[in-house]
Amino acid sequence: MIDRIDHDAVYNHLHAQLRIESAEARYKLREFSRKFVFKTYEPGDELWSLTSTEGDLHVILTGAFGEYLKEKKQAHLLRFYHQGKCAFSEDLLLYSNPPETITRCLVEGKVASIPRSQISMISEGNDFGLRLISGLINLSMTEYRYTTYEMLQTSVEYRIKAALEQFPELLNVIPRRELADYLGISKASLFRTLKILGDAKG
Amino acid sequence: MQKVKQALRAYFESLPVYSPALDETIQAVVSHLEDHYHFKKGSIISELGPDNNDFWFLHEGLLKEMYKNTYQNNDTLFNIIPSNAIFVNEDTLFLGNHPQHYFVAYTDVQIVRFSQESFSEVFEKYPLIQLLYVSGTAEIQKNRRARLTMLRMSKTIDRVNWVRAQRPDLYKNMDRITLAQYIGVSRASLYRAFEKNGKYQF
Repeated sequence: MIDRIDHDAVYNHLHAQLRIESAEARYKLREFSRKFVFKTYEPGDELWSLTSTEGDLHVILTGAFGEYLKEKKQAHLLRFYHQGKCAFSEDLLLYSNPPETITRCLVEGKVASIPRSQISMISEGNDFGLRLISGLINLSMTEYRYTTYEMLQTSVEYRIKAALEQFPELLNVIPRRELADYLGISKASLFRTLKILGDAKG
Repeated sequence: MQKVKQALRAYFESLPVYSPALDETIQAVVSHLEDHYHFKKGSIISELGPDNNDFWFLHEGLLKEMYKNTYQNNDTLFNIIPSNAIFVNEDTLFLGNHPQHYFVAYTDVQIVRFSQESFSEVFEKYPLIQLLYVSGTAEIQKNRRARLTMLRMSKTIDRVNWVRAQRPDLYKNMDRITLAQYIGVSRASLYRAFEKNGKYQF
């Protein structure tokens, strides 16, 4: 019974995010949703790492995850995944390249996953797979667009507000040092602005 | 028109997904191109109205992709579209929503339409057009991720250096105000960074 509810949740989240219109495509999406398996993640657990070789598609049912881009020795927070979001390594799933990012659990949660090999098997001989991939790319583009809106704010205050609009739990789950790096501002500037915003709220 | 067709063919051939198996499909797309439009510097590209879900190829010049910045209550630069690139009303085409962006000629431009009707017509005979579509959007998505890594750099001069190295085609054509907007800093910050580092844009 619990599995049935979870599979329905996977279907609903995918349906809400991908533009699947025809009855036939919805039926295929329903079948596809039933192939997902579930796992609980603790803070620090990885959804994928730099050594992952299989590109899974994940749907976040509960909890929150952060994707980090590794550059030289530093890892920069790139974006967040929370309830209802699809999470996947674009490098692995879309481009069959070694991943440049790591995704770690920030808040304990439950995730539904399906490996790329299964996606290929299910989509063989029909255009469902292509629709799915195209939908995932569009989704990714849209997410990056909203993050770009955040980063184009020249005022720190607006940048924080725009980020909070996308991910309201941001201040509770990300350490301040990482948050400053994520927002591309200094830690001092972050603290100063948070104080002003806090004071303004009373 | 011959030059435009050659340029579009070259664009498709530059995509990572390109193989000679796509030549017939590319030829079909190229032969469906419609008349080209010229716009003077500063003009709004009125062809991309709210309902427009066609594909557009910028053959010559540069376009500013603008959006309404709700925090600063003004229209802000989102991106610069370089020559020989495809651009679309993303919200209309991918999400079926009213567009949040519009395009302005940054220089005199020449654009060509590949209509949604033509896409459907070519798709009937050449389903591989879907692959071009996916690969084209994947390129936009990759560029967005790369730009986000630049926007997260905390030093203005590092952002400038990134544009200079990674997007020389844009860097050499942008005035300082546009460059400041493109890298998400105020004009004053950009001037200060140039002063401090003893470097100038050109």
